[in-house]
Amino acid sequence: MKPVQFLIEWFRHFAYESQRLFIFSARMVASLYGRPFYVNETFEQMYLIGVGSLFLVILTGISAGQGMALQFSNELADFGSKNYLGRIMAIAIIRELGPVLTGVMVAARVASGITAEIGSMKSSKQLDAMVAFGIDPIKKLAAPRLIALIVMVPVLTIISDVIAIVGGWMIAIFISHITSLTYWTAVIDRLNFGNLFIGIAKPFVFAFVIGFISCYKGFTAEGGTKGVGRATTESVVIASITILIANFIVTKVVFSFIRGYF
Amino acid sequence: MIEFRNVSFSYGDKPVLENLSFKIPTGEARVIMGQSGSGKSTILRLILGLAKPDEGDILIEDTNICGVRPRELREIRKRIGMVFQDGALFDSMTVGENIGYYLLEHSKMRFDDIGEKVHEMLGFVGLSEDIIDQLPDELSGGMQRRVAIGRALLSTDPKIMLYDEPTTGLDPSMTSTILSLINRLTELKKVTSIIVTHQIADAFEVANKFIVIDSGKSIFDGDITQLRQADDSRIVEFLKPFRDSIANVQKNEFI
Repeated sequence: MKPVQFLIEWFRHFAYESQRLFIFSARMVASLYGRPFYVNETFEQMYLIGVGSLFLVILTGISAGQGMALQFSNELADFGSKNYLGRIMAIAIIRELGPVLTGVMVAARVASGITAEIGSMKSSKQLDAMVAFGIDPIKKLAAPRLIALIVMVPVLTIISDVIAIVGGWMIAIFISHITSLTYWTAVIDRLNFGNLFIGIAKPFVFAFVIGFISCYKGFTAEGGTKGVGRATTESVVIASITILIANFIVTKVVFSFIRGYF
Repeated sequence: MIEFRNVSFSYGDKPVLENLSFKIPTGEARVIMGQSGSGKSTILRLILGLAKPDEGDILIEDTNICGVRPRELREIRKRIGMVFQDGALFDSMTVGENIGYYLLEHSKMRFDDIGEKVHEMLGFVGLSEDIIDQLPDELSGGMQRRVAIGRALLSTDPKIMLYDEPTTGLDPSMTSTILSLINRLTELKKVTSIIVTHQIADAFEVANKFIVIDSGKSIFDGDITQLRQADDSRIVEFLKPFRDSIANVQKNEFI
Protein backbone atom coordinates (compact mmCIF):
# COMPACT_ATOMS: atom_id res chain seq x y z
CA MET A 1 0.00 0.00 0.00
CA LYS A 2 1.28 3.47 -0.92
CA PRO A 3 1.96 5.88 1.97
CA VAL A 4 -0.76 8.30 0.83
CA GLN A 5 -3.27 5.49 0.47
CA PHE A 6 -2.25 4.18 3.88
CA LEU A 7 -2.79 7.62 5.43
CA ILE A 8 -6.22 7.95 3.81
CA GLU A 9 -7.21 4.50 5.07
CA TRP A 10 -5.89 5.26 8.53
CA PHE A 11 -7.77 8.56 8.68
CA ARG A 12 -10.98 6.92 7.44
CA HIS A 13 -10.69 4.23 10.13
CA PHE A 14 -9.91 6.87 12.77
CA ALA A 15 -12.96 8.94 11.76
CA TYR A 16 -15.21 5.85 11.79
CA GLU A 17 -13.98 4.72 15.22
CA SER A 18 -14.30 8.25 16.62
CA GLN A 19 -17.89 8.44 15.39
CA ARG A 20 -18.74 5.08 16.97
CA LEU A 21 -17.04 6.11 20.22
CA PHE A 22 -19.02 9.36 20.25
CA ILE A 23 -22.34 7.56 19.71
CA PHE A 24 -21.47 4.96 22.35
CA SER A 25 -20.48 7.70 24.84
CA ALA A 26 -23.77 9.50 24.22
CA ARG A 27 -25.63 6.24 24.93
CA MET A 28 -23.61 5.81 28.13
CA VAL A 29 -24.53 9.30 29.32
CA ALA A 30 -28.19 8.73 28.38
CA SER A 31 -28.16 5.47 30.35
CA LEU A 32 -27.38 7.42 33.54
CA TYR A 33 -30.95 8.71 33.50
CA GLY A 34 -34.07 6.72 34.23
CA ARG A 35 -34.73 3.47 36.03
CA PRO A 36 -33.46 0.95 36.92
CA PHE A 37 -30.53 2.29 38.97
CA TYR A 38 -27.90 -0.32 39.73
CA VAL A 39 -26.91 1.08 43.12
CA ASN A 40 -25.15 -2.03 44.44
CA GLU A 41 -23.08 -2.40 41.27
CA THR A 42 -22.13 1.30 41.45
CA PHE A 43 -20.92 1.05 45.07
CA GLU A 44 -19.07 -2.16 44.25
CA GLN A 45 -17.28 -0.41 41.37
CA MET A 46 -16.51 2.61 43.57
CA TYR A 47 -14.86 0.26 46.04
CA LEU A 48 -12.93 -1.60 43.33
CA ILE A 49 -11.76 1.58 41.61
CA GLY A 50 -11.22 3.73 44.71
CA VAL A 51 -9.87 1.40 47.35
CA GLY A 52 -8.20 -0.81 44.74
CA SER A 53 -6.21 2.09 43.30
CA LEU A 54 -5.40 3.74 46.62
CA PHE A 55 -2.03 2.08 47.26
CA LEU A 56 -0.90 2.77 43.69
CA VAL A 57 -1.90 6.43 43.93
CA ILE A 58 -0.20 6.89 47.32
CA LEU A 59 3.00 5.26 46.08
CA THR A 60 3.20 7.27 42.87
CA GLY A 61 2.11 10.46 44.65
CA ILE A 62 4.80 10.35 47.32
CA SER A 63 7.53 9.34 44.85
CA ALA A 64 6.62 12.05 42.35
CA GLY A 65 6.24 14.67 45.09
CA GLN A 66 9.61 13.92 46.62
CA GLY A 67 11.32 13.74 43.24
CA MET A 68 9.90 17.07 42.15
CA ALA A 69 10.71 18.74 45.46
CA LEU A 70 14.35 17.59 45.13
CA GLN A 71 14.62 18.94 41.60
CA PHE A 72 12.95 22.25 42.39
CA SER A 73 14.84 22.88 45.63
CA ASN A 74 18.18 22.43 43.84
CA GLU A 75 17.21 24.90 41.11
CA LEU A 76 15.66 27.39 43.54
CA ALA A 77 18.76 27.25 45.76
CA ASP A 78 20.82 28.68 42.85
CA PHE A 79 18.62 31.78 42.95
CA GLY A 80 18.37 31.90 46.72
CA SER A 81 14.61 31.25 46.45
CA LYS A 82 14.25 27.96 48.36
CA ASN A 83 11.40 29.50 50.35
CA TYR A 84 9.28 29.37 47.23
CA LEU A 85 9.42 25.55 47.13
CA GLY A 86 5.97 25.13 48.72
CA ARG A 87 4.47 27.59 46.26
CA ILE A 88 5.89 25.82 43.19
CA MET A 89 5.01 22.40 44.58
CA ALA A 90 1.38 23.40 45.14
CA ILE A 91 1.02 24.83 41.63
CA ALA A 92 2.79 21.96 39.86
CA ILE A 93 1.05 19.20 41.77
CA ILE A 94 -2.48 20.56 42.07
CA ARG A 95 -2.66 21.90 38.54
CA GLU A 96 -0.70 19.29 36.61
CA LEU A 97 1.11 16.39 38.18
CA GLY A 98 -1.58 15.14 40.59
CA PRO A 99 -4.43 14.96 38.06
CA VAL A 100 -2.34 13.62 35.16
CA LEU A 101 -0.43 11.07 37.21
CA THR A 102 -3.60 9.81 38.90
CA GLY A 103 -5.46 9.77 35.59
CA VAL A 104 -2.78 7.74 33.85
CA MET A 105 -2.42 5.36 36.81
CA VAL A 106 -6.18 4.78 37.02
CA ALA A 107 -6.28 4.37 33.22
CA ALA A 108 -3.56 1.73 33.42
CA ARG A 109 -5.15 -0.17 36.27
CA VAL A 110 -8.89 0.35 35.85
CA ALA A 111 -9.36 0.81 32.08
CA SER A 112 -7.60 -2.47 31.41
CA GLY A 113 -9.81 -4.24 33.96
CA ILE A 114 -13.05 -2.77 32.61
CA THR A 115 -12.19 -3.58 28.97
CA ALA A 116 -11.03 -7.10 29.78
CA GLU A 117 -14.11 -7.86 31.89
CA ILE A 118 -16.69 -6.52 29.42
CA GLY A 119 -14.75 -7.90 26.43
CA SER A 120 -14.71 -11.39 27.99
CA MET A 121 -18.43 -11.17 28.67
CA LYS A 122 -19.02 -10.23 25.05
CA SER A 123 -16.77 -13.01 23.80
CA SER A 124 -18.67 -15.62 25.87
CA LYS A 125 -22.08 -14.24 24.74
CA GLN A 126 -22.95 -13.05 28.26
CA LEU A 127 -23.90 -9.64 26.87
CA ASP A 128 -26.31 -11.30 24.41
CA ALA A 129 -27.75 -13.29 27.31
CA MET A 130 -28.35 -10.04 29.20
CA VAL A 131 -30.20 -8.53 26.25
CA ALA A 132 -32.23 -11.73 25.94
CA PHE A 133 -33.30 -11.26 29.57
CA GLY A 134 -34.46 -7.70 28.83
CA ILE A 135 -31.47 -5.97 30.43
CA ASP A 136 -29.59 -3.12 28.76
CA PRO A 137 -25.89 -4.08 29.14
CA ILE A 138 -24.80 -0.45 28.84
CA LYS A 139 -27.03 0.53 31.74
CA LYS A 140 -26.09 -2.54 33.77
CA LEU A 141 -22.32 -2.59 33.14
CA ALA A 142 -21.14 0.74 31.72
CA ALA A 143 -23.22 3.25 33.70
CA PRO A 144 -22.16 2.03 37.19
CA ARG A 145 -18.50 2.07 36.12
CA LEU A 146 -18.80 5.59 34.72
CA ILE A 147 -20.47 6.91 37.89
CA ALA A 148 -17.84 5.19 40.04
CA LEU A 149 -15.05 6.76 37.98
CA ILE A 150 -16.66 10.23 38.14
CA VAL A 151 -16.75 9.98 41.93
CA MET A 152 -13.48 8.17 42.61
CA VAL A 153 -10.98 9.74 40.17
CA PRO A 154 -11.33 13.23 41.74
CA VAL A 155 -11.14 11.68 45.24
CA LEU A 156 -7.99 9.74 44.29
CA THR A 157 -6.52 12.90 42.74
CA ILE A 158 -7.07 14.87 45.94
CA ILE A 159 -5.40 12.08 47.93
CA SER A 160 -2.51 12.00 45.44
CA ASP A 161 -2.14 15.81 45.65
CA VAL A 162 -2.02 15.74 49.44
CA ILE A 163 0.46 12.85 49.52
CA ALA A 164 2.72 14.48 46.90
CA ILE A 165 2.75 17.80 48.77
CA VAL A 166 3.50 15.97 52.02
CA GLY A 167 6.33 14.18 50.18
CA GLY A 168 7.64 17.59 49.11
CA TRP A 169 7.42 18.80 52.71
CA MET A 170 9.61 15.88 53.84
CA ILE A 171 12.27 16.91 51.31
CA ALA A 172 11.84 20.55 52.32
CA ILE A 173 12.56 19.96 56.01
CA PHE A 174 15.10 17.09 55.86
CA ILE A 175 17.14 17.93 52.74
CA SER A 176 16.47 21.54 51.76
CA HIS A 177 16.28 22.67 55.40
CA ILE A 178 13.26 24.92 54.92
CA THR A 179 11.03 25.33 57.96
CA SER A 180 7.63 23.67 58.01
CA LEU A 181 5.97 27.02 58.53
CA THR A 182 7.61 28.51 55.43
CA TYR A 183 6.73 25.49 53.29
CA TRP A 184 3.08 25.20 54.38
CA THR A 185 2.48 28.97 54.30
CA ALA A 186 3.66 28.96 50.67
CA VAL A 187 1.51 25.92 49.86
CA ILE A 188 -1.63 27.42 51.46
CA ASP A 189 -0.98 30.70 49.67
CA ARG A 190 -1.46 28.92 46.33
CA LEU A 191 -4.66 27.07 47.34
CA ASN A 192 -6.76 29.67 45.54
CA PHE A 193 -9.97 29.13 43.56
CA GLY A 194 -8.23 28.89 40.18
CA ASN A 195 -5.77 26.19 41.23
CA LEU A 196 -8.39 24.17 43.10
CA PHE A 197 -10.86 24.46 40.23
CA ILE A 198 -8.43 23.24 37.59
CA GLY A 199 -7.22 20.53 39.98
CA ILE A 200 -10.77 19.14 40.27
CA ALA A 201 -11.94 19.83 36.69
CA LYS A 202 -9.18 17.73 35.20
CA PRO A 203 -9.84 14.45 37.05
CA PHE A 204 -13.54 14.92 36.38
CA VAL A 205 -12.83 15.07 32.62
CA PHE A 206 -10.32 12.20 32.87
CA ALA A 207 -12.97 10.03 34.55
CA PHE A 208 -15.22 10.45 31.50
CA VAL A 209 -12.27 9.71 29.18
CA ILE A 210 -11.38 6.48 31.02
CA GLY A 211 -15.02 5.40 31.32
CA PHE A 212 -15.95 6.05 27.69
CA ILE A 213 -12.85 4.48 26.15
CA SER A 214 -12.58 1.42 28.40
CA CYS A 215 -16.27 0.51 28.10
CA TYR A 216 -16.33 1.17 24.34
CA LYS A 217 -13.31 -1.04 23.80
CA GLY A 218 -14.90 -3.79 25.90
CA PHE A 219 -18.25 -3.65 24.12
CA THR A 220 -16.61 -3.66 20.68
CA ALA A 221 -13.95 -6.32 21.38
CA GLU A 222 -13.94 -8.99 18.70
CA GLY A 223 -11.87 -12.05 17.92
CA GLY A 224 -12.03 -14.18 21.08
CA THR A 225 -9.39 -14.04 23.80
CA LYS A 226 -6.79 -12.60 21.41
CA GLY A 227 -9.21 -9.83 20.47
CA VAL A 228 -9.96 -9.10 24.14
CA GLY A 229 -6.21 -8.85 24.83
CA ARG A 230 -5.76 -6.46 21.91
CA ALA A 231 -8.76 -4.36 22.99
CA THR A 232 -7.37 -4.16 26.55
CA THR A 233 -3.98 -2.89 25.34
CA GLU A 234 -5.62 -0.38 23.00
CA SER A 235 -7.91 0.77 25.79
CA VAL A 236 -4.99 1.65 28.10
CA VAL A 237 -2.92 3.27 25.34
CA ILE A 238 -5.80 5.35 23.91
CA ALA A 239 -7.07 6.37 27.37
CA SER A 240 -3.55 7.45 28.47
CA ILE A 241 -2.91 9.47 25.30
CA THR A 242 -6.38 11.03 25.44
CA ILE A 243 -5.78 12.03 29.07
CA LEU A 244 -2.61 13.89 28.06
CA ILE A 245 -4.41 15.63 25.19
CA ALA A 246 -7.44 16.42 27.38
CA ASN A 247 -5.05 17.79 30.02
CA PHE A 248 -3.76 20.40 27.59
CA ILE A 249 -7.27 21.28 26.36
CA VAL A 250 -8.69 21.67 29.89
CA THR A 251 -5.69 23.80 30.92
CA LYS A 252 -6.15 26.06 27.89
CA VAL A 253 -9.93 26.35 28.35
CA VAL A 254 -9.75 27.03 32.09
CA PHE A 255 -6.98 29.59 31.62
CA SER A 256 -9.04 31.33 28.97
CA PHE A 257 -12.14 31.60 31.11
CA ILE A 258 -10.94 32.15 34.69
CA ARG A 259 -7.42 33.54 34.30
CA GLY A 260 -8.10 36.18 36.94
CA TYR A 261 -8.62 33.59 39.68
CA PHE A 262 -5.08 32.18 39.64
CA MET B 1 -45.85 -19.53 15.56
CA ILE B 2 -42.56 -18.36 14.08
CA GLU B 3 -42.32 -17.34 10.46
CA PHE B 4 -39.43 -16.08 8.33
CA ARG B 5 -40.48 -14.34 5.11
CA ASN B 6 -37.71 -13.79 2.56
CA VAL B 7 -35.18 -12.84 5.24
CA SER B 8 -31.72 -11.70 4.17
CA PHE B 9 -28.95 -10.73 6.56
CA SER B 10 -25.29 -9.87 6.22
CA TYR B 11 -22.38 -9.05 8.53
CA GLY B 12 -20.87 -6.03 6.77
CA ASP B 13 -20.22 -7.08 3.18
CA LYS B 14 -20.48 -10.79 3.96
CA PRO B 15 -23.95 -12.24 3.25
CA VAL B 16 -25.05 -14.71 5.94
CA LEU B 17 -28.71 -15.43 5.10
CA GLU B 18 -30.27 -15.05 1.67
CA ASN B 19 -33.99 -14.91 1.03
CA LEU B 20 -34.77 -17.40 3.83
CA SER B 21 -38.38 -18.44 4.42
CA PHE B 22 -39.90 -21.02 6.78
CA LYS B 23 -42.80 -21.39 9.19
CA ILE B 24 -42.92 -23.24 12.52
CA PRO B 25 -46.41 -23.76 13.98
CA THR B 26 -47.03 -23.28 17.72
CA GLY B 27 -45.98 -26.20 19.92
CA GLU B 28 -43.77 -27.86 17.28
CA ALA B 29 -40.08 -28.63 17.53
CA ARG B 30 -37.90 -27.92 14.53
CA VAL B 31 -34.22 -28.65 14.05
CA ILE B 32 -32.13 -26.32 11.93
CA MET B 33 -29.12 -28.18 10.58
CA GLY B 34 -26.17 -27.12 8.53
CA GLN B 35 -22.44 -26.93 8.51
CA SER B 36 -20.53 -24.53 10.76
CA GLY B 37 -20.77 -20.99 9.44
CA SER B 38 -23.90 -21.67 7.39
CA GLY B 39 -25.93 -19.05 9.31
CA LYS B 40 -27.82 -21.28 11.76
CA SER B 41 -27.04 -19.34 14.94
CA THR B 42 -27.80 -16.07 13.15
CA ILE B 43 -31.39 -17.27 12.72
CA LEU B 44 -31.72 -17.51 16.53
CA ARG B 45 -30.15 -14.06 16.99
CA LEU B 46 -32.70 -12.64 14.54
CA ILE B 47 -35.63 -14.29 16.33
CA LEU B 48 -34.42 -12.84 19.61
CA GLY B 49 -34.01 -9.39 18.04
CA LEU B 50 -30.27 -9.30 18.80
CA ALA B 51 -29.77 -8.46 15.12
CA LYS B 52 -32.09 -7.00 12.49
CA PRO B 53 -32.49 -8.45 9.01
CA ASP B 54 -31.44 -6.40 5.99
CA GLU B 55 -34.59 -7.50 4.17
CA GLY B 56 -37.69 -9.55 4.88
CA ASP B 57 -40.01 -10.05 7.84
CA ILE B 58 -39.86 -12.16 10.98
CA LEU B 59 -43.22 -12.92 12.57
CA ILE B 60 -43.61 -14.19 16.12
CA GLU B 61 -47.24 -14.97 17.00
CA ASP B 62 -48.34 -12.70 14.13
CA THR B 63 -46.20 -9.76 15.29
CA ASN B 64 -43.56 -8.59 12.85
CA ILE B 65 -40.58 -8.03 15.16
CA CYS B 66 -38.63 -6.14 12.47
CA GLY B 67 -40.73 -3.04 12.86
CA VAL B 68 -41.41 -2.98 16.61
CA ARG B 69 -40.06 -0.51 19.15
CA PRO B 70 -37.42 -1.63 21.70
CA ARG B 71 -40.04 -1.71 24.47
CA GLU B 72 -42.32 -4.01 22.45
CA LEU B 73 -39.33 -6.14 21.54
CA ARG B 74 -38.55 -6.55 25.26
CA GLU B 75 -42.14 -7.74 25.80
CA ILE B 76 -41.81 -10.26 22.94
CA ARG B 77 -38.50 -11.49 24.36
CA LYS B 78 -40.31 -12.30 27.60
CA ARG B 79 -42.03 -15.12 25.71
CA ILE B 80 -38.74 -16.50 24.41
CA GLY B 81 -36.17 -18.57 26.30
CA MET B 82 -32.71 -18.91 24.82
CA VAL B 83 -30.05 -21.48 25.64
CA PHE B 84 -26.83 -20.11 24.20
CA GLN B 85 -23.98 -22.16 22.83
CA ASP B 86 -21.77 -23.14 25.80
CA GLY B 87 -24.47 -21.81 28.15
CA ALA B 88 -23.31 -18.16 28.27
CA LEU B 89 -23.74 -18.27 32.05
CA PHE B 90 -22.70 -15.18 33.99
CA ASP B 91 -19.34 -16.39 35.23
CA SER B 92 -19.08 -14.01 38.18
CA MET B 93 -22.41 -15.23 39.59
CA THR B 94 -23.26 -18.44 41.39
CA VAL B 95 -25.50 -21.11 39.88
CA GLY B 96 -28.39 -19.88 42.04
CA GLU B 97 -27.91 -16.27 40.96
CA ASN B 98 -27.73 -17.35 37.32
CA ILE B 99 -30.96 -19.33 37.45
CA GLY B 100 -32.78 -16.63 39.40
CA TYR B 101 -31.23 -13.80 37.38
CA TYR B 102 -34.39 -12.67 35.60
CA LEU B 103 -36.46 -12.68 38.76
CA LEU B 104 -33.74 -10.85 40.69
CA GLU B 105 -33.62 -8.16 38.00
CA HIS B 106 -37.25 -7.77 37.01
CA SER B 107 -39.59 -9.11 39.67
CA LYS B 108 -40.52 -7.73 43.06
CA MET B 109 -40.52 -11.20 44.59
CA ARG B 110 -38.94 -11.69 47.99
CA PHE B 111 -35.42 -13.12 47.97
CA ASP B 112 -36.62 -16.26 49.81
CA ASP B 113 -39.37 -16.85 47.23
CA ILE B 114 -36.87 -16.53 44.39
CA GLY B 115 -34.63 -19.00 46.22
CA GLU B 116 -37.51 -21.45 46.43
CA LYS B 117 -38.16 -21.17 42.68
CA VAL B 118 -34.45 -21.65 41.97
CA HIS B 119 -34.48 -24.84 44.06
CA GLU B 120 -37.53 -26.12 42.15
CA MET B 121 -35.88 -25.37 38.82
CA LEU B 122 -32.67 -27.14 39.82
CA GLY B 123 -34.78 -30.22 40.49
CA PHE B 124 -36.61 -29.85 37.17
CA VAL B 125 -33.36 -29.80 35.17
CA GLY B 126 -32.03 -32.71 37.22
CA LEU B 127 -29.34 -30.95 39.21
CA SER B 128 -28.50 -31.30 42.87
CA GLU B 129 -29.20 -28.39 45.22
CA ASP B 130 -25.63 -28.70 46.48
CA ILE B 131 -24.31 -26.80 43.45
CA ILE B 132 -26.42 -23.70 44.10
CA ASP B 133 -23.49 -21.70 45.51
CA GLN B 134 -20.92 -22.90 43.00
CA LEU B 135 -19.61 -20.78 40.15
CA PRO B 136 -20.26 -21.92 36.55
CA ASP B 137 -16.54 -22.63 36.05
CA GLU B 138 -16.75 -25.34 38.72
CA LEU B 139 -19.41 -27.29 36.77
CA SER B 140 -19.05 -29.74 33.90
CA GLY B 141 -20.19 -28.73 30.40
CA GLY B 142 -23.42 -30.74 30.69
CA MET B 143 -24.28 -29.22 34.07
CA GLN B 144 -23.62 -25.73 32.69
CA ARG B 145 -25.99 -26.45 29.80
CA ARG B 146 -28.70 -27.62 32.24
CA VAL B 147 -28.22 -24.50 34.38
CA ALA B 148 -28.62 -22.45 31.17
CA ILE B 149 -31.88 -24.27 30.38
CA GLY B 150 -33.08 -23.66 33.95
CA ARG B 151 -32.17 -19.98 33.68
CA ALA B 152 -34.10 -19.65 30.41
CA LEU B 153 -37.14 -21.43 31.83
CA LEU B 154 -37.29 -19.53 35.10
CA SER B 155 -36.93 -16.22 33.32
CA THR B 156 -40.26 -15.79 31.65
CA ASP B 157 -42.15 -19.07 31.46
CA PRO B 158 -41.37 -19.01 27.74
CA LYS B 159 -43.67 -20.05 24.92
CA ILE B 160 -40.72 -20.39 22.56
CA MET B 161 -37.40 -22.07 23.38
CA LEU B 162 -34.31 -21.55 21.26
CA TYR B 163 -31.34 -23.90 21.66
CA ASP B 164 -28.02 -23.04 20.06
CA GLU B 165 -25.90 -26.19 19.71
CA PRO B 166 -27.19 -27.60 23.02
CA THR B 167 -25.15 -30.81 22.91
CA THR B 168 -21.90 -29.73 21.28
CA GLY B 169 -18.87 -30.87 23.26
CA LEU B 170 -20.81 -33.12 25.64
CA ASP B 171 -20.26 -36.82 26.26
CA PRO B 172 -22.97 -39.28 25.07
CA SER B 173 -24.54 -39.67 28.51
CA MET B 174 -24.82 -35.92 29.07
CA THR B 175 -26.05 -35.44 25.50
CA SER B 176 -28.83 -37.93 26.16
CA THR B 177 -29.79 -36.08 29.39
CA ILE B 178 -29.98 -32.72 27.59
CA LEU B 179 -31.99 -34.15 24.70
CA SER B 180 -34.52 -35.81 27.00
CA LEU B 181 -34.83 -32.51 28.89
CA ILE B 182 -35.59 -30.70 25.61
CA ASN B 183 -38.19 -33.35 24.75
CA ARG B 184 -39.74 -33.12 28.21
CA LEU B 185 -40.05 -29.34 27.86
CA THR B 186 -41.64 -29.53 24.43
CA GLU B 187 -44.14 -32.15 25.64
CA LEU B 188 -44.98 -30.81 29.11
CA LYS B 189 -44.94 -27.06 28.50
CA LYS B 190 -46.08 -27.21 24.85
CA VAL B 191 -43.39 -24.74 23.84
CA THR B 192 -42.35 -24.10 20.26
CA SER B 193 -38.72 -25.22 20.07
CA ILE B 194 -35.98 -24.45 17.60
CA ILE B 195 -32.84 -26.49 18.00
CA VAL B 196 -29.82 -25.41 16.02
CA THR B 197 -27.23 -28.13 15.64
CA HIS B 198 -24.77 -29.77 13.34
CA GLN B 199 -25.00 -33.01 15.37
CA ILE B 200 -27.28 -34.92 13.00
CA ALA B 201 -27.78 -37.92 15.31
CA ASP B 202 -29.07 -35.60 18.07
CA ALA B 203 -31.40 -33.82 15.67
CA PHE B 204 -33.45 -36.96 15.09
CA GLU B 205 -34.09 -37.37 18.82
CA VAL B 206 -35.77 -34.02 19.39
CA ALA B 207 -37.84 -33.25 16.29
CA ASN B 208 -39.57 -34.76 13.31
CA LYS B 209 -39.13 -31.82 11.00
CA PHE B 210 -35.89 -30.33 9.80
CA ILE B 211 -34.56 -27.34 7.96
CA VAL B 212 -31.17 -27.66 6.29
CA ILE B 213 -29.23 -24.45 5.68
CA ASP B 214 -26.37 -24.19 3.25
CA SER B 215 -24.49 -20.90 2.73
CA GLY B 216 -27.39 -18.93 4.18
CA LYS B 217 -30.05 -20.54 1.98
CA SER B 218 -32.68 -23.08 2.98
CA ILE B 219 -32.09 -26.18 0.88
CA PHE B 220 -34.51 -28.46 2.72
CA ASP B 221 -37.64 -28.09 4.86
CA GLY B 222 -39.50 -31.30 5.63
CA ASP B 223 -39.69 -34.53 7.63
CA ILE B 224 -37.42 -37.57 7.85
CA THR B 225 -39.05 -39.41 4.96
CA GLN B 226 -38.52 -36.44 2.68
CA LEU B 227 -35.00 -36.09 4.03
CA ARG B 228 -34.23 -39.71 3.15
CA GLN B 229 -35.52 -39.16 -0.37
CA ALA B 230 -33.84 -35.82 -0.94
CA ASP B 231 -31.65 -35.94 -4.02
CA ASP B 232 -30.09 -32.46 -3.79
CA SER B 233 -26.35 -33.11 -3.96
CA ARG B 234 -25.66 -30.64 -1.11
CA ILE B 235 -28.05 -32.49 1.23
CA VAL B 236 -26.69 -35.87 0.18
CA GLU B 237 -23.14 -34.65 0.80
CA PHE B 238 -24.04 -33.13 4.18
CA LEU B 239 -25.86 -36.25 5.40
CA LYS B 240 -23.39 -38.79 3.98
CA PRO B 241 -21.57 -39.46 7.30
CA PHE B 242 -24.92 -40.06 9.02
CA ARG B 243 -26.59 -42.35 6.46
CA ASP B 244 -26.89 -45.18 9.03
CA SER B 245 -28.46 -42.93 11.69
CA ILE B 246 -31.07 -41.71 9.20
CA ALA B 247 -31.87 -45.23 8.03
CA ASN B 248 -32.44 -46.38 11.61
CA VAL B 249 -34.82 -43.60 12.54
CA GLN B 250 -38.48 -44.59 12.69
CA LYS B 251 -40.84 -41.82 11.65
CA ASN B 252 -43.16 -42.18 14.66
CA GLU B 253 -40.36 -41.92 17.20
CA PHE B 254 -40.64 -38.18 17.09
CA ILE B 255 -42.73 -35.69 18.91
